[in-house]
Amino acid sequence: MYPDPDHSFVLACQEAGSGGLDGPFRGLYDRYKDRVYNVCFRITGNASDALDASQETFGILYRKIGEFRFHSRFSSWVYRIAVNASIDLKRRQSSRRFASLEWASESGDSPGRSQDVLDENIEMPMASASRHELEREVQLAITRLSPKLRAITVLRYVENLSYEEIAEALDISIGTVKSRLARAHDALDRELGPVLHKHYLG
Amino acid sequence: MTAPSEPSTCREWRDACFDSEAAFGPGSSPGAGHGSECAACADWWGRQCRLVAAFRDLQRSAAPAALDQRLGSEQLAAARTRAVLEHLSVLHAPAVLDRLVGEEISGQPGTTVGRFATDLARLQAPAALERALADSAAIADEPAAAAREFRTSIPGGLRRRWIGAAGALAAGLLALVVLRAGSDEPNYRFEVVELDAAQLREQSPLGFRFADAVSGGAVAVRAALGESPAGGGRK
Ligand SMILES: [Zn+2]
Repeated sequence: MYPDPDHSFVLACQEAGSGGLDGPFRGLYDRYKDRVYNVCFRITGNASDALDASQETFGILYRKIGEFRFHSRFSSWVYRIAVNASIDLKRRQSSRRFASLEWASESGDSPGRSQDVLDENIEMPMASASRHELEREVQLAITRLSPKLRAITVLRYVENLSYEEIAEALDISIGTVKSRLARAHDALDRELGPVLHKHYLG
Repeated sequence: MTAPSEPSTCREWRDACFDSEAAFGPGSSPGAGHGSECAACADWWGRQCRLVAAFRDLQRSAAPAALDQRLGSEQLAAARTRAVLEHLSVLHAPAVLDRLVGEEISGQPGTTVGRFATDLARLQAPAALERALADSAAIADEPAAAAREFRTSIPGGLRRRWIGAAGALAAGLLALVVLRAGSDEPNYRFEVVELDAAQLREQSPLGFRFADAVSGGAVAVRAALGESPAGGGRK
């Protein structure tokens, strides 16, 4: 198996059984809280939802850590829970819009690109963008992606995970990681091309 | 970009770029071949590099302190629930369960029916019923008086036989009506029989216990004395 850097932390939690944030779980929480919060923030697109999704993520981790058997990296498990908590939260908020996307099903990874961007009618970003505006436009473009592409983009470019780590976290093949990443680039290029050109090339 | 009219080699070349995890990163290049020969793909490569740079430049936030507080309270609540569950005392089955299970598995249906029927709560008639009866008795005073006269003028034994015969006649007529009306229906066969209490106890212990329970013990008394009918039965 993997030389999991979280091995001793997880074992300590499993042996202690409970103890809240004052027990061994504190070690894992401190290692992951920023990573989880950033993933949740970039997928949900706002601080309030990110807080809710982060809380849910750590609640699940705390309750289920006794069942973790190191069949994957612990970090992959954490990312998977965080991604799912964020997507589920957004889906609950706008279940009607997301109804046909079926995030949980891996079989729907069709080559069609029309679903990659959720809302085609959103106005194009303004060409002149300050640093702060650029940040906002990038976040908006992520939020407009479908849940699958949003997850892959955030794990790849916000968390800098390798293809292998992403494949493990999302339980998909490396080939699927590459094809989804290519689709995400297509959609983001359409959304952000002009504003990025302006920002980086003046 | 990705317009359908684009040559397939461009699409293939761009897809192949994603085979390398280092693509579009700092210091990466489109390499020799299609990437440097095709202006559209060279331009595309530049856009992807800027895209990745924009992501790299995204501000990373620290988890807010509110998350600590929320998790603290969530885990406090979980700990409280666990403490409550741990202190719940273990309940022991009551001794009566032994007897009930014994009856259940001994296959004596009479025992069970008797127990449930005799346990039926006996309700007291509400006072409003008494008032309503008094009112209706006053309105129908004349027929009621005639009925009372009829009842008291006939000896008890004869009256019971009359009522028994009338009951049997009514049941027989009902059976006849059912048989006549349902010529196309499944052929239910009703037979009105009259059993005394002792016969009922021998032929149908279940029916005997039920009749005894409903009559408040009168049927058992009659069976013991071996006198009058216990009632009609249906087969
Ligand atoms: Zn080309």
